[in-house]
Amino acid sequence: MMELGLMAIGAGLAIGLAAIATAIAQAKIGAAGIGALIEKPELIGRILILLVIPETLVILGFVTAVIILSTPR
Amino acid sequence: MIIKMSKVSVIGPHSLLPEIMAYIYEAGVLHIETPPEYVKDTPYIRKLTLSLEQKNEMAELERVLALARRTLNTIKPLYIRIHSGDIPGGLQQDSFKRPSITNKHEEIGTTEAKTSIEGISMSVDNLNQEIKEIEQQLSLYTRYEKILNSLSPLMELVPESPFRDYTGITLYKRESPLPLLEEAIQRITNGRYEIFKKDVDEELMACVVVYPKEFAPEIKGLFHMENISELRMPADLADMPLMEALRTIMQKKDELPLDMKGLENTLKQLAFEKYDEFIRCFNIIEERLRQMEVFSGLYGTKDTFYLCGWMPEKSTHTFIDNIRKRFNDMVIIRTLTPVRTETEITPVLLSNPGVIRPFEVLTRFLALPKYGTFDPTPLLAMFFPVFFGLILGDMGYGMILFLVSFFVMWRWRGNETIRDMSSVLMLSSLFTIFFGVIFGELFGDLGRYIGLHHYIDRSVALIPFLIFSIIIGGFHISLGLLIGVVISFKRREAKEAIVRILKMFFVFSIFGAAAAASGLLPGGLLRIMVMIAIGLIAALFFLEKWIAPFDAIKLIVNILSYARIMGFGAASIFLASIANRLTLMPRSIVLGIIIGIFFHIINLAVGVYAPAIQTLRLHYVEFFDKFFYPGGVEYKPFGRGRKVVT
Repeated sequence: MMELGLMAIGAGLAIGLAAIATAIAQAKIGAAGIGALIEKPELIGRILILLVIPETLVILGFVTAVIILSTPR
Repeated sequence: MIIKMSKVSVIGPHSLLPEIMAYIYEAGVLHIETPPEYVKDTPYIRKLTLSLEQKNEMAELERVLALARRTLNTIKPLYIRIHSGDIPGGLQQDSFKRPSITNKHEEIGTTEAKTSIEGISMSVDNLNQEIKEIEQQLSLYTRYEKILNSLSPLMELVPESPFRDYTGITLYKRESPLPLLEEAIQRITNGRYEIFKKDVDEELMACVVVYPKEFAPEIKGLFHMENISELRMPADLADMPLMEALRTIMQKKDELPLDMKGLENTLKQLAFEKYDEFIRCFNIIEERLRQMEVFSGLYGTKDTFYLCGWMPEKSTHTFIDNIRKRFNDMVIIRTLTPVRTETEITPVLLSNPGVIRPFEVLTRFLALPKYGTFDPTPLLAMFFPVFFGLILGDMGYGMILFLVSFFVMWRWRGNETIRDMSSVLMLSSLFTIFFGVIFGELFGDLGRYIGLHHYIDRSVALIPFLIFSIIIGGFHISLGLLIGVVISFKRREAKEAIVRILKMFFVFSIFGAAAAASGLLPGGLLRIMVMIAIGLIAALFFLEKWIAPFDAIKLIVNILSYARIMGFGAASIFLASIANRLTLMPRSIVLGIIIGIFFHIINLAVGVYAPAIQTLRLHYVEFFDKFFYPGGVEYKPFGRGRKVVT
C-alpha cells in the first residue's frame, strides 16, 4: 500500500513539476510573442511554434507518470 | 511542389516603355525584380526617374488610397455585420442583395475610380460627422440631466410673465450660502423675488431665482461677484430663455437617439450597397499605384530601359513569342540562366493538386520554402490528418467536426483561407472517424455502453500506444532527414548531407538498441547498436564540433516528442469519459443530458484545438527542422486581376 502511495506521489510530481516548468516558460514566451505580434502580425506561425515548444516538458512528465503507474508491482 | 521559374530580361527604347509595361501588365505573369540583380552595381545603368506629371499622379493616388483605407475601416466591419444577418431596422433582407464583384464587370478608369472613392468617402465622412455631433450633444445633455431632473419640477412652479426673469443656479450645500444669498437678493429687489430649491444629490442643490426683469443686471452681477455657478446652457441654446432651453434639452434627449439610429442605419445601408463598388475602385487605384511604383523602380541608360523578372517556366515561351511578335526587333527579350546564389531571391509559386492544395495554407502559416528546396505541403497533407485522427480518434466528435467544417466551408465559400482551413479540418475529421472505429470510441466510452466493438482500447493500452507513437516519431524524423539529404545534395551542400545521413543512422541505431533491449532483436545486438550510436556521435563531432552531442540529444527529444500523440489522445478519451460519468450523476435525466452535452462541447472544442496545434507543432518543430528552408520570396506577378482587397 505504501509502495502504491509513493508511486502515485512520484507520478504526480513528474507531471506537476513539468507542468509548472512549462507554464513558466510559456508565460514568458507568450508575453514576448504578443509584443512581437502587435509589431508584425505575420509572425504568428513562428510565435505559435515558440509558444508550444515547452509543452514537450509536460508531455515527457506525463509519459514518465504513465510509466511509473504502469510499472508492475 | 514548387513551380520551376525562368528568368527573363527585356531591353528596349524609352519610347516603348509604356506599351511594353501595358503588355506585361495584361499578361500578368512576370514578377519584376527591382532592382535587377545583374545591373544594380553597373555604373552606366541608373534608376529611371518619373516625370513630374507621373510623380504628381503617384502622390494623388497615394492620397486617394489613404482616404479609401480610412473609409474601408468604417464600412468593412458594417458590411461584414450585415452579411452575418445584422439588418438595420425597417429594411428587408432582400434589399441587401449583394451585386457581383468579379472583375468581369465593365472596366472603369482611375479617374472614375477616384471620383467614386471620394464620393463614397465623403458620404461616409458626413454621416460619421453627424453621428459624432449627436454623440457629443447627447454626452453634453447627459451632463445636465441630473440638474435638469431637479430643476424641471421647479420650473413648473415658476409663473410665466414677460416682466419676470429667472436664473438657475447650483449651490454646494456644505457652504450653506442660501440665507446670505437670499438676504442680498432681498436687498436688491426690495423683497420682490422668489426662490425655488431642490436637492440634486447629497452635495449639490439646484435653485431657480425669480425676480423682476429690471433687476437682472444686478442679480447676475451678484452671482458673478459671489462666484455662484449659474446654470449655463449649451451654446446652441444659450440665447433661449431658461425654461424653453430646458424643455428643448428634454425633448432632444428623447429625439437624438432616434436620429442617431437613423443615421447609423443609413451608414449601414450605404456600406452594404456601395461596398463592392468601393472595393473594385480601391483595387483599380491600388493596381495603378503598383504600376507607378514598378515604373519608378525601373533601370536603364539614357535611351533604353532594362527590366528583368521571373515567371513560371511553362509561360515563358508564349510570353517571349508574343513580345517578339508585337515589338519585332525594337525590343530584346531573352531568358537568362540564373546563377546558383539567385535561388535566394527567386520567387516561389506553390502548385499542388486538388486534395493537397488546401494544406498550402498550413505551409504558408509558417513560411514559404526557398526556391530550389522542397515544398512540404504534400507531406503535410499525408501526415496531418492521420496524426489529428490518431489524437482525437472518436466517431462522434469526428462526425460533428465533419458537419461543422462542411457548414463553415459552405457558409464562407467566398473566403479562400477559411475554405482551405475547412477542407483540412474536413479531411482530418474523416481520419478521426476512421480511428474512432478502430478505438471503438463514440463520445468517449459511450460507444462501449451501446456495445460498440473496439480493436484497440487506448484507455487501457497506454504503454503500447506510447511505443507506437514513438515509432511513428522515429519514422517521421527519419523521413525528414532523408528528404534533407536529397535537398542538401541538390543544393551541393555535401557536409550538410553527410551530417543528415549520420543523424539518420543514429536514429536507426537508437531504435535498434531499443528493439534489442526489449527482446524484439537478439540481445547481443544491444551492445553493437550502442557502439554504433556512440561512433556516429563521434563522427558528427568531427563535422559539427561541440554541437554534435546536443544535436544527438535533440534528435532523441524530437522523437520522444511524438509521445504527445498518445498523451493528448489519452487526455481526449479520459475527458470524454468524465463527461459521460457526469451525465449519470444527477437524479434528473434531463439535467444529466444537459451537463453531458455541455462537457462534451467543451471537450470537442479542446479536442479540435489541441490535436490541430500539436500536430502542427510536430510538423513545424520536429519534422520541418530536418529539411525545410524557410524564407522564400512570394511570387507576385505584375498584372491585372490580382485581388488586392476583398
